[in-house]
Order: sequence, then structure tokens, then C-alpha cells
Amino acid sequence: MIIRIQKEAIDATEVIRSVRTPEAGAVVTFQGTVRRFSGDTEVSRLYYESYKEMAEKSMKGIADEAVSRFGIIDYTIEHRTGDVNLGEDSVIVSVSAAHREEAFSACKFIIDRIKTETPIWKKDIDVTGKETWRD
Amino acid sequence: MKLKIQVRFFGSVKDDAGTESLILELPEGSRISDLKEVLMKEKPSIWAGRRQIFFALNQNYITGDRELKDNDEMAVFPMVSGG
Repeated sequence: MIIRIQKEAIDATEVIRSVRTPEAGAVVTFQGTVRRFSGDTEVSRLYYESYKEMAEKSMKGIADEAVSRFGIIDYTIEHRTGDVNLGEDSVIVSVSAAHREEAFSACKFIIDRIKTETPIWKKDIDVTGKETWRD
Repeated sequence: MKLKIQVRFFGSVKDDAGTESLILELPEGSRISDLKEVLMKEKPSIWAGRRQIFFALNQNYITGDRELKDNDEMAVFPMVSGG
């Protein structure tokens, strides 16, 4: 049950390994990646800022709710801050559960709630270097 | 005795406020609503052209009003956009 807000790149293999357990028959992982277009804007990278203390608390609350709702066995959530380049992961949510249904449901529940509640903000840096907050 | 409240700004609100944080001194017995009123006077730019603004007290979203305590931390920020 790991929650991390970090500047370093996400190591998806390591994250998935961290939730694997012989009791789990399913591991579901969501990776949010930086895509080239934000509407009509061609993006070169994104910049993420967090209110770290509150964001960690928020993610922990959401993940613990997923444990009680769906009975998942383990989770790891990591979110980048600072500059994240095109194609890189900005966020990863990996969960393990006895069966796939609760693993899929819990993974979706966690990422959906993070996107609407967790105090993290991003701005686009387009190919000309112009910066625009996305809020 | 005065209450010292740390106010922290994030995201585009931080840019509009022109600072990451400030300390406000308020009379004892002040409430969240009083702090918001002081902020509206001190930093009106953070409301300009913004549809929504969010507040958190000691890392919890604020619902309703209540009395502030010395050394409380208030955060002010726009709609979240992580992920």
C-alpha cells in the first residue's frame, strides 16, 4: 500500500511488482501518459504541481475507500510533479485483487477520484514554449 | 491575542497571487469567512476571471464556516487537474 508523489520517473514494472501477491488472481494497472495534443495545442511537456501534504492524504483516503468497497488486496499509486515529457507516465495506479472484476472497478474508482479531488495541477508547455494552466 | 494563519496558494492561483504563501494576522474568534473577506481585499486578483476557487483548511476541503485556530493553514487553489 504505497502512495508516492515524486519528481523521478515512474518505473511501471517496479510498481506492478509491488502489488503482486500469491493471494491475487488479478493485477490491473492504469498509466496516465502525456499526449501530444491538448485540444488544438501541440504540447511538448506538462508541468505538475501538488499540495503534497494534502495530495498524499487525499490519495490515501481514496485508496483506503477502494480497499473497503472492493476488497482489493494491495495498491500502489505514484504521481509525478515537475516537468513530465511527451509520452512519459504522469500517474500510475496499480491494484491487486482476488478476481479481475474488483481489480478493474477499484483501479477506475481510484483514478477517477484522484482526477476530481486530489490537489494536483498541471500546465501545458506547448511547442513554442508557451505555458498554460489547465484549470 | 492575534491568530496567525498561514495562507498557501497553488497552481494558477499562486501566479495570480504573486506569491506562494503569506501570513495573515486576525483577531481571536475570527472565522473562515472573515479570512476569506481579508483575502478578497488583499488579493482580489485571485478571483478575477475565475469560475471557481477552492479552499482547504489544514489539508481538508472546507465545507461550511467555523472558527479559526492559531497556526491554522489555509490553502487556496483552482479546480484540480492532476492525472
